[in-house]
Amino acid sequence: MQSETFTKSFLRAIGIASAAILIFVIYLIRYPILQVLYLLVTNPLAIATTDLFKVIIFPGLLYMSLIPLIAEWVERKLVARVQVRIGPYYVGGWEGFLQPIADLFKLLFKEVIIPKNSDRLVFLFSPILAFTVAAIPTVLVPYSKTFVIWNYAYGVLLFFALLAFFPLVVLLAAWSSNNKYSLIGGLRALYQQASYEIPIFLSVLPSVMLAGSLNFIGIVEAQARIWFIAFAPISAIVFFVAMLAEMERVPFDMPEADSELVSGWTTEYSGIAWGLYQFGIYVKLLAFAGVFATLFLGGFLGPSFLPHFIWAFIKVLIVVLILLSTRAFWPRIRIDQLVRGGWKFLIPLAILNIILLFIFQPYLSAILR
Amino acid sequence: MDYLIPVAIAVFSAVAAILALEARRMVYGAISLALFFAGLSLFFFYLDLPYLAVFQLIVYVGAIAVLIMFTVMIVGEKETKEGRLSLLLLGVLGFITIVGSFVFAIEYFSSLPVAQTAPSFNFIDLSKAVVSQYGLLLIVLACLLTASAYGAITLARREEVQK
Amino acid sequence: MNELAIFIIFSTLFLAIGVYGLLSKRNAIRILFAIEIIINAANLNIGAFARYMPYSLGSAQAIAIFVIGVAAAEAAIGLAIIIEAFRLRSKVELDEMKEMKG
Repeated sequence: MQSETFTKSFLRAIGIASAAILIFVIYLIRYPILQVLYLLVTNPLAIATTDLFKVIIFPGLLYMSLIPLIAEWVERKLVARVQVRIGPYYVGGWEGFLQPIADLFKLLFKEVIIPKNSDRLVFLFSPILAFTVAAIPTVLVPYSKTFVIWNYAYGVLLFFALLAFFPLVVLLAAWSSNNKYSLIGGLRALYQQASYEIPIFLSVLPSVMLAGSLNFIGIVEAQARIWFIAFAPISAIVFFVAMLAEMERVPFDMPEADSELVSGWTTEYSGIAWGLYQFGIYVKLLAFAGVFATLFLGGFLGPSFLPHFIWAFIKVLIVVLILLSTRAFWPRIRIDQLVRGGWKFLIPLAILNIILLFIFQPYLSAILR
Repeated sequence: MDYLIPVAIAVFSAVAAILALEARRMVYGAISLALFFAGLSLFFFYLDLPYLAVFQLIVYVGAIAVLIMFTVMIVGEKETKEGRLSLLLLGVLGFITIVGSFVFAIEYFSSLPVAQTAPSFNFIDLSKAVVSQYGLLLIVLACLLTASAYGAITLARREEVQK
Repeated sequence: MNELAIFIIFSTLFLAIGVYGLLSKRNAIRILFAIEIIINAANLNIGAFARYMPYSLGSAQAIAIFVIGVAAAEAAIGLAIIIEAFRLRSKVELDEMKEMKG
């Protein structure tokens, strides 16, 4: 009873705060809104170049929330087909393609249960924080020269620095649940994410070295002749594996191993709080797929019969599909195998690729330019 | 009004720092300490020192704050009598003295050759300084970090009790 | 009054907060918090001088990065010592650890 009133007052406070923030933001962006309204009358096609369109529709909010819904359906369908099941079938008519939206509404109407003796403030804030932390790096990923929300000169650095917030949020969520399975899962997640950040940094270095730039668009433009995966195949593999581990996807999903820990650090979460975590993980997957495509697969570049942003979209979708398919094809590994693999194999492999690049650097610069 | 952004960041960081020391529950203190570190990195972004800001985020928020929070969760919440008001008064008085002396010293600082057209950040200066000018210091720091990692593992490892 | 002076005042403020914590707290973890705050205050000072003094951008940033590295080593060792002390006597108050008093 008491926790219910707490939830209500908390949600009311969050609602009032977000309404106030929304009004303030609308006040701040009144001139872009007026610009968009003016363009709507005079030249509707030019809307796509305004900042407001970028933030709200294409690389921003709408795209970022639609892709996770589609990805969830694709994942369930794919895993079901591999396991000779049918998967979602009824909702929406054709192959159950509206199943994620049905799930979303189900989660919205379910009660958020707060466990007894938990730290309620941290417990309710950490899903919001998790989604925010997962969504913020997405603004740095370019989909074409214009379709990038924030073209920061040191975007690569900032992207991987913002990821450093995630273990903190996971640890807070795990601790505030006051549940031993949550805490074990949270500590595993912390262990995993902290130790796989090093191979990620090391495997990003070859692309940065070859392009001589820390800007995502600069890196893409340096791949005009040939993609960097040709020069840094080992780094690409290391980055892919470490990316799976950072996102707790299936070969590395010890933090939420449902046969050992009930559901890892999300055990005590229910309703839309759990939904926000899942949503955040899929948004993070989208951001990571975009970075992989940008660093190794030439980003938005491609033959000129399609515009740039469609090439970027296709590449991101392919990377997302490969990432999703690992869930169907690989068994879970043990935590000691995970840590040994990270420190003894991935880090030396990433360093090996850097050394190889140093050795062959004189020949490479002739090929690149 | 010119100093609105740095003053806002400073107020945020100062409140976070005081909360880190005075919060009744230790975990809230650790959270506020992480916020303080993030506020410092905002300062570095404002000063157009992006590498320093990112380094601050990765090392402090990504590693040290997590380590501290982990330790707080192991050690638990046993707070004893703390936070004496007289010392708070002493701190405030000391702050006023120090700031007062600085305000008198501002005459000096105003006459310093402050760069009016601030040079923009580039990585070449930084890497030259780190690798060539302070190369020996870099090696010493690497040895120090290795030794500290080894020492921390040795200290924190639970020894097998043989009977 | 230029912007450098503003940043010096801010870093003094953080230094004062850190010294206050160092003086008034007994819990070892809180004292570690205070030490981190003091180190960050020093680092802010270095960063401000790097920006506003001519010809010091590269070397001042290098020094700040070294300071962050040393602080990381210090935090790792300090936390390991705290965990070890907690294991031995299940409390982390510094004024109750006086077995090694000379």
